[in-house]
Amino acid sequence: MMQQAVRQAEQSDDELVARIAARDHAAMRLVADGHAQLVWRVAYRMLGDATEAEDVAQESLLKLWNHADRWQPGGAGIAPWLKKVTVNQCLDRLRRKRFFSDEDVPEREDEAPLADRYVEAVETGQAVKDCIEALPDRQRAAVILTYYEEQPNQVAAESLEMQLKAFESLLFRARASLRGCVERKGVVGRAG
Amino acid sequence: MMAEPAFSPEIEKALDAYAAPPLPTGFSERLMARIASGDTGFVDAAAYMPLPRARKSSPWRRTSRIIGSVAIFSLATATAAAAGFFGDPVYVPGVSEALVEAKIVDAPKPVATPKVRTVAEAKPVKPVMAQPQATGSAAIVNRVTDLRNDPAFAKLTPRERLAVTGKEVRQMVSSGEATRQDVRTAVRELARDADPTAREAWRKTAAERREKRLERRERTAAIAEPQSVTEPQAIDSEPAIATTDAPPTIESAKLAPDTAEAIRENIRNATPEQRAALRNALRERRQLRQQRRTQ
Repeated sequence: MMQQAVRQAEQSDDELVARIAARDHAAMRLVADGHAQLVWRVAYRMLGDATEAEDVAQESLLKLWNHADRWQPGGAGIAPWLKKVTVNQCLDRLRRKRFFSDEDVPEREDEAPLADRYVEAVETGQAVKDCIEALPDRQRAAVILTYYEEQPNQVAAESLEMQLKAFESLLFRARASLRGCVERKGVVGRAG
Repeated sequence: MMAEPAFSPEIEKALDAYAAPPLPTGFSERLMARIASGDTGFVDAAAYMPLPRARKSSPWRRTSRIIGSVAIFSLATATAAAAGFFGDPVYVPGVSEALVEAKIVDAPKPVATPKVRTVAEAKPVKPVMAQPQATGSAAIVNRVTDLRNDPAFAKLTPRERLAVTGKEVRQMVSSGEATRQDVRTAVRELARDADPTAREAWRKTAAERREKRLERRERTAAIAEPQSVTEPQAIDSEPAIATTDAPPTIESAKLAPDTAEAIRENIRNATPEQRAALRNALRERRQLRQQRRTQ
């Protein structure tokens, strides 16, 4: 892994995508190893489901494989592009799920083993997860991109294909809702 | 984690507690296996693009193209003409102007509404006086004046003029337009207004006629001395003045004493038949005189 990271860092995103466009499986494996965690993280926080998050993550990376020939060099890079594609796919999936079924997304058991010392933190995390899932889709994406993925507002707005002012308004409402939800859950003082 | 402190530290701690689980193991291998197997979910649009058919444009499409082409051409030429591209802009009257000029039917004629007048506003109507028609002596004077103004009348001899005038006056009397008294009055007016020479001529003529009448009366009395009881000489049988231009002269009803005595003697010596005839003649004359007076 370490060697792959070094090799990825040595090659620019444009060169990697050019190789992927040339159907270089090694280059694709290099990108997948380097960005899979990012894509998975965004998808999981957006969807709250590990299985669906993996599907979305794989589809996002496959999009890069399929459309590498249309890559325009000199852009923001692979990571922002993958985040944007992942967020949009998550929004599509949420919208589709709401269209086909108005039932709540069934909560799955956390597959991670719970240790006593992590119980409290896990409960807090679950409460925050519930609050994030309670947000509207685009507000959820705005919070995830700006807070968890640390994207600037401008980049996040472009990912959601919004004007900056509109995105900032959306983000303001998302933060207020999330703050109120977390405070109502009573987990503020427990964390840490 | 965030560039700008949007949340309080406590909230940030709570949000950080929501950590994404680690990437499932074998993620990259599964991904590469899908790529190797060709299960990339990519659909080559070009491969599934239907081949362009050798289409024959349908009538609807052809018609729409023609109509569209005509509309675009019309719009373009109208715009170019209005912009003066072809020279001076063509003046195209608008619909409203055409409607203003349009004359579909004749405009209704203005109906004169009767003006209601109050009694106070109404002007008093002056009674139209009929032109008074000349009657009586004036009619005779007018008629004689008209005859005198007639050139054909002027060409006649005095005797002929007198005859014509007398005829006209007699017709007026017989038709009832004038009476004999009117005739006398008219003669006096005409004589008064006549010039001195004409008046002198009339007097002379009247004097001559009077002399003739007296002579004729004396002669008649002398001839019909025995038979004169049936025709009293004191009564003038001729019309007084109707046929003369001279002023009327009324015969004196008084007889000379010897004439009256001779008449009485004749009546005393007359037979009863002669006396009856005389009475009848006198009655007729009396009646005739009365009729003249009434007229």
